[in-house]
Amino acid sequence: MKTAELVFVFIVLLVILALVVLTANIDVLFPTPSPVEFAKTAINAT
Amino acid sequence: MKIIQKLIIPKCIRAGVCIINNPLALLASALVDVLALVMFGYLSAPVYAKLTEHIIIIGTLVSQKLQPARGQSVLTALYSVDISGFVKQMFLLLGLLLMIVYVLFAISQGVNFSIAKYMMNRKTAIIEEITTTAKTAAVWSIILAGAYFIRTVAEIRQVIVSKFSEGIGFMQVLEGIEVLLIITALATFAAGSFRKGVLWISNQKLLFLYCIGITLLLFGAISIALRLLGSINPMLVLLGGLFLFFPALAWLRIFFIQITAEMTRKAEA
Repeated sequence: MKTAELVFVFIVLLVILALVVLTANIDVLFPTPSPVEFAKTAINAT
Repeated sequence: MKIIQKLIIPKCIRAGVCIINNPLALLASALVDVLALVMFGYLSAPVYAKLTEHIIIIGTLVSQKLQPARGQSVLTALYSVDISGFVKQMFLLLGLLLMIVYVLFAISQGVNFSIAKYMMNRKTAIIEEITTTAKTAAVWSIILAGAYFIRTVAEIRQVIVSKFSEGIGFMQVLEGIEVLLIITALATFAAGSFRKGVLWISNQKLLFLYCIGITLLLFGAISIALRLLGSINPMLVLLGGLFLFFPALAWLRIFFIQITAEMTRKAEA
């Protein structure tokens, strides 16, 4: 295998790994209030 | 009729022969497709769940803001401090979803087009094929994301309109356009690049129409066969899907590669 091909495979694997890590930690990266918290805020707002 | 006898039928038969002669390659191709679908399910499920959460939160907050006493427009409500954060996150999640589809599609289809060329006894390099597919997929991801956006808007509109009148068939037209776009995409992937594919379609309009007909006939027949199997035993749908759908996809790839290659060769001569 040429070096360029190895680098390409490495980058592809890195991208897949990044996607797996991103989706596994989605709650940390995209936080949303818990249902109880959200209901409390909604009640307070009305 | 000449075009069917001299070009389409021999290519259909040759694609079938390529598949019958390479059962292991066909199995590998089906496995790559299945693996890509499983990976898509595994990676997209948490993103879909998070998107649903965001849509519910945004919907609730916007409806609170739009209470008559507060008198705000939807856009102003979306830009307000407590909602805009969720809207931004929602768009980031949509971007992540698009990224997942793009990466999985480029890799799986790159490998599968390489396998299809191997079945045709052509020289092929998987990495080269993946990069070619990735380039073409970049253009198509923009077009199909646009189509998906229009469809979403149309679906929302249909929910509102259906309260007042019967359906107008607009969704069916959109679905038809999407199917045409997918077949056009297949032709561009088989041709090797977006530009080559579009050139081929513009030079061979009649042939392309025949190719659309063949694709629709093939998947129509599979769909009828699966319905018949489903009426016998629901489990047979899964088995039938595996043994009919994936080989049909592999056959279609080979058929499109042959047809587009033939015409490109003629154009160059």
